Amino acid sequence: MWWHGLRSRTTAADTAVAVILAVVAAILSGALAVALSFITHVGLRDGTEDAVRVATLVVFWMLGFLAVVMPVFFGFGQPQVPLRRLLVFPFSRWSLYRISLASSFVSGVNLFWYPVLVAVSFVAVIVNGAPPVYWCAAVLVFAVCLVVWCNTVLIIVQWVLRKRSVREVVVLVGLVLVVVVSMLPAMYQEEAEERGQEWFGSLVPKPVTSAVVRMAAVFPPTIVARGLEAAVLGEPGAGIASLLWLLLWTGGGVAIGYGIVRRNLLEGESSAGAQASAATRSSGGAAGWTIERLTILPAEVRAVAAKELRYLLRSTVGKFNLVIMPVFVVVMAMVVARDLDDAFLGLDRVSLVFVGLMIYASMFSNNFLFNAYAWEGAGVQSFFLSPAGPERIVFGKNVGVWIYNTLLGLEGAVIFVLVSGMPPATALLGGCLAFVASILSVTIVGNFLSPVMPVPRDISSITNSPSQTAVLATFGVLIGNALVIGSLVAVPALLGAKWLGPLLLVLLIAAEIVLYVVMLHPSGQLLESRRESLIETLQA
Amino acid sequence: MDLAIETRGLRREFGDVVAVEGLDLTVETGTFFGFLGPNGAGKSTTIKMLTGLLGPSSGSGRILGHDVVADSVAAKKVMGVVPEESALFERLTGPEYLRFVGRMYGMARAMIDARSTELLELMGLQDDTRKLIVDYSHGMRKKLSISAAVIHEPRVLFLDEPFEGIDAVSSQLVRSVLNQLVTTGVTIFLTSHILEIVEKLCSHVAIIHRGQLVADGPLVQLREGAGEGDSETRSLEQLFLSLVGGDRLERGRLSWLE
Repeated sequence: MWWHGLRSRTTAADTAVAVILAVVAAILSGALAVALSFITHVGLRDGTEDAVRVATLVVFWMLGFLAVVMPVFFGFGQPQVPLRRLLVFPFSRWSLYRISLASSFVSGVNLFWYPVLVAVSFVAVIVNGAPPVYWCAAVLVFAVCLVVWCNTVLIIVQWVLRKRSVREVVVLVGLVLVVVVSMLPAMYQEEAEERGQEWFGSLVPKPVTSAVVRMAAVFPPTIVARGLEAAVLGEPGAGIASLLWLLLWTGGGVAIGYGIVRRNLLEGESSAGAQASAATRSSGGAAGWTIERLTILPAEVRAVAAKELRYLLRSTVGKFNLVIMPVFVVVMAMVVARDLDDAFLGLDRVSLVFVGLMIYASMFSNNFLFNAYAWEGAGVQSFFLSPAGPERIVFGKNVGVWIYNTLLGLEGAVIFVLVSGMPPATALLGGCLAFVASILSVTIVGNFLSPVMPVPRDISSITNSPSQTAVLATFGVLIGNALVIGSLVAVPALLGAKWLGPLLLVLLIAAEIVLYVVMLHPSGQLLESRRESLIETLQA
Repeated sequence: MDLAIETRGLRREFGDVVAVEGLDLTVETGTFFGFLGPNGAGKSTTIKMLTGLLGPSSGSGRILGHDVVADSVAAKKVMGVVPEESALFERLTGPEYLRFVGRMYGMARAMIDARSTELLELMGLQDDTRKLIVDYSHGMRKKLSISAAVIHEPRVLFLDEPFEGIDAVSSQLVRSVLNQLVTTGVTIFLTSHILEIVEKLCSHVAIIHRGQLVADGPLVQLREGAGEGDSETRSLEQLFLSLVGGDRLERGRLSWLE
């Protein structure tokens, strides 16, 4: 991420933050290197079959996760080199694939785990006397295998994302699976305790468990771990076989990655574009009708708000939020709430979850407020060509996001009530007020951040790469919101005066509204002063 | 006569490069004004400064008496703009974009809808009203841009290469509409590389070269001063080439092909 930030920096502040994040990444990499080296050292020093196996499995699965899964999770979501842009040059598909692969070897995420692998190898070979030739050969092949698969996974992600008609379904299913799988231990544990181990056993039968273990055995981390274990325990034959399997995996990764580049990724641009439009065409039509009813607002504000709402409802991430909200509420209400004590922070379980849900729901639009011009493209010129003052443009965009976020909040609240029942009146009011207070604070900060650090974003993609400063600002505002708004809800409840919470939140909102109105003019002036760089950045 | 466009010492720098250098220009109301120049001469930069997309480094510009910097909102209210490159919101449909523009100029919804329908039919876009702009061809985008520029009845119209990518039929229709606008007192400021079109449409022409004005006046007068021969038969192209072609014309061959 820091590497990406350095390459796409737009301001000196962004560069400074990118350097800070690079230092943080280096520290994390060092810490991970120490931790995994320690595990390796303990396992090899023990010398027993079990200890060596556990140590190598932990170390190499961790490295595999970092190399292959992290780039997708952290939103890089694309190969280091945009292959499509190289199509104008006389490169063969094979050359393009090799360029893509070569760039993966120096990508930021790999620079993060290379030192870890080196440190682990140093500890294993120099400190614990592992066979140096085999260890180095195995680790080298493993590293190449990981980089190849990292590149292949990113190519597959891009390919899937280009098939936009199935994109949302794929992403939705993927995310639900991640959420459900992460919740499984808690769910099973609780249910097992309540209903006994038989129920747990029937839910996850033994053949499934053993099948999972067998499947894991054919993946590169297990293969390299088994090979190193065999080499350390003096069975070179098994080690050589592992190397061959790793080479086979590497070849397979190259074949799949190249196959997709050759046949799918670089072809059918026009049809993909048509699919993208087909996916977005039908939605957002009611946005104009809805906002036209808000006659209290000036016409220019309504025009900008309607445009903004249409964009949100036509974006993949905008639709995705609306689809994922019910899933999120059900998980919060049925799974997380079970683990809470009845009276936590002075609130009963339903109240606490409802207030938390509303604060969290307000955050769904943070990206739209912190990087408000991300989707405008060359269309941003339309704002500056129109006779509307910049304050009205800023206000109109805010109104569009507020309406969208209110839809999300309403959806979440209604589903919560259906699933968990009506929360107490103070919690209901407090949750809704916390929702408004949170959005307002993000809006005020976002109005200043957006014109200063715009980062173009693909409206058809769910991934986002905001500027580094925006990332830090997001964290700052989120922490501030959690502290201030959470305190205003929890402290009165702990003191036994639950009615005081909503009252304090009303005062906070009033103060935020005053601040918003006062800041609207300066934020509009900032937008006007950043006009040229904004057009240049978004048009590129 | 009132001035529709007036610039005084208008200058714009990009780092060390001076794109427009001290431009003094006056365009009377109701004029069809052609603004010509070779690539990189400063035509688009001038239009961007006059329409509020770029700030001038120094100098001033006025549209119907409104300063384009100090009184930009009033200046923008009376102008319509077709930028050189598309400035459309690509995830809106054509009618949605026209409605957006109309509302930004404070037009009533009914009027916007009526004019949108007429404009889209005139431009041949009536069958693509449910299509997002991202799926429009280059020519369709240009035609939508022109529609958006005239929907609010501007008094001054800036057109930066409006005929680029438009088919012959649409081009003829657009020319008819532009002529109709001029007869109603609208001032049109046009840049185009197609000199024949400028010659047919414009009554006044200015030529900019390397950021400086090298010719300015009624087309007939400019022809008369363009050189030898009958002024009636001298073309704008000859005038243009004589002013900005320079010695490049003599080097019109590739050495490795000889």
